[in-house]
Amino acid sequence: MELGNHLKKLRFEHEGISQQALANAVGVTRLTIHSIENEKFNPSTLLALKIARFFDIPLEEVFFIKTD
Amino acid sequence: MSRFLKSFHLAALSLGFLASAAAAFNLVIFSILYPQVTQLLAEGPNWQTYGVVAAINIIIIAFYQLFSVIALLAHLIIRKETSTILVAAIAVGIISGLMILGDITLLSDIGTEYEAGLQTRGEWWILFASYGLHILSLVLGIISLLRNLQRDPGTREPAYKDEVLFMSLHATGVICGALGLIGVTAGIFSSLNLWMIKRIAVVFGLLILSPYLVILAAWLFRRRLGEVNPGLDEKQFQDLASAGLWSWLASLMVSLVFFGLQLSPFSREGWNALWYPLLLFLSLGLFSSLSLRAYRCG
Repeated sequence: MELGNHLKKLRFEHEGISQQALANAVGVTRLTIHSIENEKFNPSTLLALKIARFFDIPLEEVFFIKTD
Repeated sequence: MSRFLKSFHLAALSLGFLASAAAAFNLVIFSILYPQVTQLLAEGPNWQTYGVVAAINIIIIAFYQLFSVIALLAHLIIRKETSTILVAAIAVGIISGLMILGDITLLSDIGTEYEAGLQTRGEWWILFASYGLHILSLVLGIISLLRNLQRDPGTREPAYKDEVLFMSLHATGVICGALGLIGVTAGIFSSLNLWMIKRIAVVFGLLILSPYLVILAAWLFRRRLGEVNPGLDEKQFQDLASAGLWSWLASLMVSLVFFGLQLSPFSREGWNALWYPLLLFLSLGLFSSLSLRAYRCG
């Protein structure tokens, strides 16, 4: 099972905010956001919650478990 | 780019062109003097003039190294921009700048040994190698300064969690580790005496490590300023942990091979003095390259 996300879509829906702006808002580096977006890095629960809170939506609408 | 940073870049660039001419001029002077001094010929009529010109040229090169390293470090810290060539220019610039002290010592040694009627070929070759490093530093420095001056700052969003120093530190670690391993290999296969290898290992070890220590100091300095949050984020921690594990395992393996070779009939005298520099530069190079790779690609 792998973790998927709608981060790229959500960024574009939120006035196309940049990876850097999102990184600044949740206290990580731009490359960390880039890696999460490309599903190369699984964020901690805390970071995932911070991202969901930033977009003001439930966690499940940002992250989901990929099923084969 | 701020006026201060731009002025510093322009000053360093002007000094860079002047220093290039100075380095070329010194190489010509050394090429003229080398055969005469090594053949222990009588002092020529122009040697005093050559000495004064070479000294002035060394001062110009030293000023360039100082200005360029400060300008490039300031660019890295203030503009928060990094690139391989910028990091290489800073690393080689610091080593080359410190090597100027070595040049002065070498020239003084050559003078004293020539007067005592001793052979100085070894010193001359180290001096020429040092000038190779100065020229590399001039090329990298001038390219970086020009690139920084031409770069459009645009409307980039400022980063509150910094990644530039993280990447620069590890890129410097890769360069220092590689240079250190080249030095250790040269030491292992050299025919120098053991006491000489030990002395050189300490001096060159510190010299090669100096850029890494400077970037590390810049990171700590930024943390102290508190203008941004230079602490690590969770991915950086994870990348460092993974790189640490693999470099630890690889260092253990290489150390085991080295230990085995020391016990074998192929053992060389210099190895006993170089086990620590080997382990240090191997771990540094591996740790930095794996951290950088994991952070950028993982």
